[in-house]
Amino acid sequence: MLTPYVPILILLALATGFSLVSLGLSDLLGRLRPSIGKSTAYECGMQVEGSARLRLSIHFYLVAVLFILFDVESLLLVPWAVAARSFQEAGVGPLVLAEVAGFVGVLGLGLAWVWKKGGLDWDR
Amino acid sequence: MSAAHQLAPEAIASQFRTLFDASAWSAVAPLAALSAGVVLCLITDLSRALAALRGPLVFAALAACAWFQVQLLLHPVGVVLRDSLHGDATSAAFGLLFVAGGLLAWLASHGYYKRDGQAPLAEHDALLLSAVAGMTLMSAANDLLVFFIGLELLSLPLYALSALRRSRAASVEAGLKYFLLGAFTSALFLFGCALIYCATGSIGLDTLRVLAAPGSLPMGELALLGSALIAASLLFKLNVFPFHVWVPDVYQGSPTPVTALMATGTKAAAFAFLLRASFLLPASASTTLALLALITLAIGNLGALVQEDFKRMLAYSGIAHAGTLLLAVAGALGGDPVANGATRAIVFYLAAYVFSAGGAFAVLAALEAGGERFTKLENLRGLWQRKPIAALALALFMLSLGGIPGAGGFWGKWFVFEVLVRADMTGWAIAGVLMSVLALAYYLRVIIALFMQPTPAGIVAPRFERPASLGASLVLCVGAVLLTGLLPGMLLGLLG
Repeated sequence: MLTPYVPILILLALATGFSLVSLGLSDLLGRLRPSIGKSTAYECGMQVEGSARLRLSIHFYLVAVLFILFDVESLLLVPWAVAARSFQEAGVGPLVLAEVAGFVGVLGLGLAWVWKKGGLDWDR
Repeated sequence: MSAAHQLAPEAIASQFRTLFDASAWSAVAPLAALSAGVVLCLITDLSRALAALRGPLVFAALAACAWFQVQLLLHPVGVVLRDSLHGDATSAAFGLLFVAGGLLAWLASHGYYKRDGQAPLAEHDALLLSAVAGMTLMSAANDLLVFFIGLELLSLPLYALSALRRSRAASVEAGLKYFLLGAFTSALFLFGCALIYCATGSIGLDTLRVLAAPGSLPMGELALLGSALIAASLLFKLNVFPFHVWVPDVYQGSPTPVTALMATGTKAAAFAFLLRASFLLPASASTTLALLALITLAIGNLGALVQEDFKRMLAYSGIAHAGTLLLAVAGALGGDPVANGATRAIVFYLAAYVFSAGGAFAVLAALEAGGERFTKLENLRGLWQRKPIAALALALFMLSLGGIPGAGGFWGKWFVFEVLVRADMTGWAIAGVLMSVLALAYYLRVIIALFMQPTPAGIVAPRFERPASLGASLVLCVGAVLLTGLLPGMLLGLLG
């Protein structure tokens, strides 16, 4: 039952083995000549300043959750949009449209609620 | 998309007709009533003019849900929505228990948060209704993933509710503990689902039941591991050893109305599904479950004996009750729980427990809101002189929890041990009865404090914040405890 997954396992083993072998060989055979230029961050963005443990505003998470919410909403609307024509041909178009409208309506109400509650005010 | 994958219009239309028939609607109606309540409840928070509508709205949602459940109880519709949802008498009976638990928690919350300043009361009510909807879905689920949605619909609101008193460290600690452990067990459950799907290719309980009919699921170890993971996540929600450690802290730290909902509703919902999915566990797991149940009973009872805090004592007592109920599940393994009476015994036991524990929490919440900010046992001393009616009701609830004849708890225990004796597990039943005797010690301690000890100096009579709400809960609970205790046949007749 699980045999179709064996190639993935082989690929995993190959990938792990290749990286281990090439890194290990260069470590064994190569000579180590450290310099200042070599030990700086190369093509990895800016020089690091200060601690990475910043305090993020709680609003960041609120906005992130709202974003995910509407992301998922669009995800759920796409199948309906694709199948809308066949629903119409089957004569259940209005029923499904009403269901979708109810779904979007509840989410819209949620957005209105968050808005009214001040969840979208960034500097509060 | 290729045309071959598209269904003919007639096929789509007929699928819609069979999927959304009248019986599907009547099975979904209780959930719809609660969900509408959640949305409308949040809307009332948007303007000051609507705020007065919130109370009647919550009550209407719970009442509508109860009405639909009664309809289902009288006219069961069987399994609907492609074998994913039950609309039978068992799910309806459990659903009514959840409505009762939600109603008691809601009544207990009246006036409780008054001293907390800006407590988000509309959110509280919406989350409470959502938790009740989650329990309803859990007890009606006939599919592992539908159950999981119910579980999350119950758990997420409860995490937020238990941390509702944000200014109190204990409440925040309770919320965080519950959230971390709960999220962990949700993951366990999902992993169990994945393993079972891997072994059998299905997550529908009807299909799994057919596959398990020869004695066990195909692909033995994998399916067994999956079932064990699912059982572990259920045992967490049931507060059973070894998944009970979080219970006292969370129950004590959470606001008392929320604790009431957790103690009564969550437990009932998890037992409802454990009964439905009990065929996933092999009959040989019976001894293991019974052993876990006895250890749970011992931990609950011994833990409760040494508590000085009434709320914490009720938490330990809840652990002990979960142990007793798990004994009934152990006795039912290897057979159909409806046929061998385990479902009936557990519903009856839970009915008595919901009203006894719910009533006790209602009194406790009212005392806390009335100025006694501490939940210590010593604060109950001499309550008989200060508040005689509340003291009498509390005494009745303690007797029912202890299993004294005349109160509902007695018959609940009777039916549970009857299941065990019929399953040829008399030894376990005797051990369970001995444990129940041990439990009486701490229930009687409360009664002694209420009636036989003088009021400590410096304690004034509490003024109940919302006497009408407390009165309503007490009438409901005392009525239900006495009715189940004196006329157990009435409830049994309803359960069929």
